[in-house]
Amino acid sequence: MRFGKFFSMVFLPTAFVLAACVAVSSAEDWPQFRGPNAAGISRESKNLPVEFSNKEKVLWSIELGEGIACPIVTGGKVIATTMIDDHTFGVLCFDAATGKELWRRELDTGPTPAIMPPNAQASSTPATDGERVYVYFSTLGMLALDLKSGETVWTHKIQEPFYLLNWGAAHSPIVYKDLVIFNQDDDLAPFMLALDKQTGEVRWRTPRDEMLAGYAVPVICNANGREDIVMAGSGKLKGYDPANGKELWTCNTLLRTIMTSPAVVDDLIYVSVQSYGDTDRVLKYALLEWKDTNQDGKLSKDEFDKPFWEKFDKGDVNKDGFLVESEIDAAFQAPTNMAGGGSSIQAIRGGGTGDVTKTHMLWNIDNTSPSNIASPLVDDGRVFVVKKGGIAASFDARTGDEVWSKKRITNFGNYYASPIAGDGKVYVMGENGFLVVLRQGPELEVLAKNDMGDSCIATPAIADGRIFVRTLKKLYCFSEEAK
Amino acid sequence: MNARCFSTALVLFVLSFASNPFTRGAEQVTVVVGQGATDLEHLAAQELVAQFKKLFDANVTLTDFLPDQHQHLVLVGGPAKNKATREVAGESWPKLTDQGFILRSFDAGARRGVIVAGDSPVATYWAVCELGHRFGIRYLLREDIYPDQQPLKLTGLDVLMEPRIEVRAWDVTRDGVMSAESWSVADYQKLLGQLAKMKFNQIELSVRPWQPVVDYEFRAIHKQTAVLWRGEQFPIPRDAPGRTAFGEAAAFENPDFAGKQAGGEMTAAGIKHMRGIIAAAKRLGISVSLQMNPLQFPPEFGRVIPELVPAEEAAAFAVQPGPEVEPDHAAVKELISTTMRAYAETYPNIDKLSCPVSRSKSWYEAVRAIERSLRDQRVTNAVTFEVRSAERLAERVSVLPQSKTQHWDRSFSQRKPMSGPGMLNMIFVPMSPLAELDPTIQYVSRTAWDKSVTARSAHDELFISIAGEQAIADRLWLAFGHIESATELMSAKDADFAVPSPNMLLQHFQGEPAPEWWAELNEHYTQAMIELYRSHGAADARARPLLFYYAKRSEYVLEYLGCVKAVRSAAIAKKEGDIEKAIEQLAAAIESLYNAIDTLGDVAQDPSDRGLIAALNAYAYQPLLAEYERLQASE
Repeated sequence: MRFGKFFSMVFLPTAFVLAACVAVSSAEDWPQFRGPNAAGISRESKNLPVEFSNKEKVLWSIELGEGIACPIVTGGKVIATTMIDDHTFGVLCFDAATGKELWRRELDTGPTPAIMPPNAQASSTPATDGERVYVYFSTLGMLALDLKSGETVWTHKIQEPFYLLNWGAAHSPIVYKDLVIFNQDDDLAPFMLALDKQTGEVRWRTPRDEMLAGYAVPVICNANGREDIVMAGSGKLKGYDPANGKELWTCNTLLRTIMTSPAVVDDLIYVSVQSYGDTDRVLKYALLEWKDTNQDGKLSKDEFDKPFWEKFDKGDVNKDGFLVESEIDAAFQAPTNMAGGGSSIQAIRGGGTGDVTKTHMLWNIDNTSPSNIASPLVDDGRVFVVKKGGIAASFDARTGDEVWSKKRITNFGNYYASPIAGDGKVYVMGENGFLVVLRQGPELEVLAKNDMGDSCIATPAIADGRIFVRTLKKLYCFSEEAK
Repeated sequence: MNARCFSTALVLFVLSFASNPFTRGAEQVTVVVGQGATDLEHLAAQELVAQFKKLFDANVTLTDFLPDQHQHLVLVGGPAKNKATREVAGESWPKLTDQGFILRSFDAGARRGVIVAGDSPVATYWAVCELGHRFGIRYLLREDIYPDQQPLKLTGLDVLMEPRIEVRAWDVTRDGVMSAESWSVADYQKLLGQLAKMKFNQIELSVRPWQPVVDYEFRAIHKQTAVLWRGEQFPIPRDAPGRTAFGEAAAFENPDFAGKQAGGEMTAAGIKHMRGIIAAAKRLGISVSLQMNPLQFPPEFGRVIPELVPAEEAAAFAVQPGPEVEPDHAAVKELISTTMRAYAETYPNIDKLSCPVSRSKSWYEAVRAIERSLRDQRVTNAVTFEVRSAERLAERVSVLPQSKTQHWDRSFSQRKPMSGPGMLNMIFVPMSPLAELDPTIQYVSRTAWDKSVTARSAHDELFISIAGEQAIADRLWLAFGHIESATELMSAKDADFAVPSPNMLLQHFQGEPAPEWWAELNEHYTQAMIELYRSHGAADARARPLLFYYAKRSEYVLEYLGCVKAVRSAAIAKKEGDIEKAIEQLAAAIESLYNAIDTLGDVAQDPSDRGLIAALNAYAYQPLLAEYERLQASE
């Protein structure tokens, strides 16, 4: 249904897209969105629970208040965020084994920008290197907090993002070696930024002018003898040199709006994306539909927030005070990147140079299985995707062939969280508060449908044989250790 | 409240609102309320203080004496109750009805400010609320939306308002899980507070014979039937769509009745509940009319009067005189009298016991005679009995958003002008779920005092104020126009299309082509949704939650209509013997319905919203699942 697709496009959950990089921490850390390199996979955890609920196998639980960012885990500590009140952002640290609060920071945000539900102000998932917690908030910028005490080590102010359709901020940092890397694709001035993790000083800043608003997180791909930062964005998947932020390669096969994050296995990068409309549906049509408030068929300056006026003037070639047709494209979507909508799953080999569109594409299938929000899970030779309605599909990671297609995982509703895996099981968190457990394998086998008791947007975390679920209001730790 | 209590409260109140003395630039405002002011006038003054604080960030002091000099005085209450008003207004006080009020700036040298007052306490309360409205506050059914803070300006006001519609009543239907039968006293208190700000002055509480709101005996038979929602239960299974709107609750309940056992406990809770609502209304100057059907009774009384037969619309829960029973039937007359007496005695604080009679004129006359007899017996001193023919039809409450604002506008514009003083002039707003009623209520509340107000002008006044610009109001006018067109379409083509009942969805499981008007209905709601989201994206932050609520509800409708269409397709496939396709279509219907209900759960705000989710689960989702399983088993 068209409105459904549109609205799933509009809602950007944040935390679903985060990738981690190769942060140096203990083996069973889950140091960023979706764990190590945003892959969503725990390699060490054993004996993960299958059947559990908000009343069963709860090792501990905490009332956090509303939030949608994912919990992260490092060195036996769990970090979560919340909005304590309209203008107070909270970062909290708990003992992973007991739930005991170790510290909390309450930060005055000042007035917060408009945001489109279910996105929320406390949406960015922190990242950690085991010494500090790096946390982003739209009005505060990036903060490094001491992991032991929660004290601020440094703060780096970042230009607030602006969105033509008021989606709101939802970008999450990663840690790579001595860098905190943060990508902010908004509709105004997209960029990628690397900060010195010790000091917060800018190491490099790379504009991404071709991009529209999107929420992928950077991932690291080790290929061709080097480690690249890989970033998915409007129309293009790009590789960057972590040393200086320079663009190394681009693969021009993505769609207009990118909210999912890539998954990397060896030297292959997997992307599953869905963006509203067909391939001709460039940004212009969305703007004429949703920003042209008086529906006169042209866009006037007062139909945009002030930060976009400079772009507006740039596009208003004939200076008549309105944007029409090609002027709209010129103002807001890069002429070199007129990506449209659609739906596809792709595998791209990393390590290239220049335009790799024709040289490094392993496979690219036009398939309606992907979600616009939930990222793919790639493990054990298969690409698993799930979308609204609890409709899932599995593809051969080597060829893109269907292993099985569009089967229901017995839970309806929206899926903003991305699937994760560990101990031979796949955990799929539904927005309706049910966490479906599947057996990892070539067949779809539902092992359990577990009630978390509340809505859930955030992707869960796995560490040390425990599953951490951040529902809309609470943080749960599930484990077989629970009595 | 006695004088000492009031003085203490006043001091505490002043302290609680006193701004930091070191705050620079805060305007000093003194609100003067009369020493003999009533509780409602004190409430008006307190409301004004709170509003000024938010509107102007003013340092507001509440007192009961007139200072010698002050630049920002607000005198609350008419000269009869407020000496300060008497002193300032002098001979210039106008002649007002007990509903009329003034907002009048004054400049008496060292004293400047504004008189905000009526000749009755409730009129003074309305005066305060009208002042707030003129400063940009918009009173909605669930909240007040304030404008940005502005400079304090009390000059230039010279307003006298008298209502052109004397009775502005809220018709509270209390029958069904989506209705006000699901509201607690706390919910009513909040709603009544908002209605009072919009100058509504009456509520009509309808009760049914089976409800637990009265306790009496007739010929040694005790009233035993005491149930809500005609005895239905609404469990919320853990995997029910929209369940997050209920928290951990296993069932949808009216909290005032939660855990009460059938019979006496329910009735005790119900009487307490009703008395709470009545008290909340009276506190705000809202009169209460209790409406009961004098010809329907709990079924247990059929044991002593065999001529009573099950009532058509509630056969299991009510009986009524059979068609052969004449109005002079002694036992029936006695039962009518006993029932009316019971209500009047249980609720002596109501203003009116309204008894609509929907049968022949002879029955009407019979009930009138009983009413006269009760009055002669002085059953109560305060309650007025009203026996009338039941010409007002019950509204068909749909599970889909509805609007009738333009209908009301047309209706009022065709209404003949009042012919003379004292003529009863009433407007009843049926309380379907609050849902999309805000623009309607805005119109009614404004046009009741100013005949130049139209549906469109009231709409613009509301949405330009809160959303920020004319273009947004234009889009919303289109959105609500589409909702109203959809309402009219359903009413004309199939009034039962989406009325909550156990067969509400599966009535469409029939192997006939879908009616063409369904596409038109879908288009109206689609356009409404587009306009609502378009408006939401452009609106000021203060309006966004409200517009998001409307938009999500319109999104729900499209999923619901998608479900209905799939149900019809499934039935056609089944009729054609294509069971596989039928199953596939029912699966699609289940998913659409799940999404529909879950979407509602995202924005549910009040008990009627949650009641809607409960109704959809019970009447649509569960039967659809059962049909799906039946079809699968037959494959």
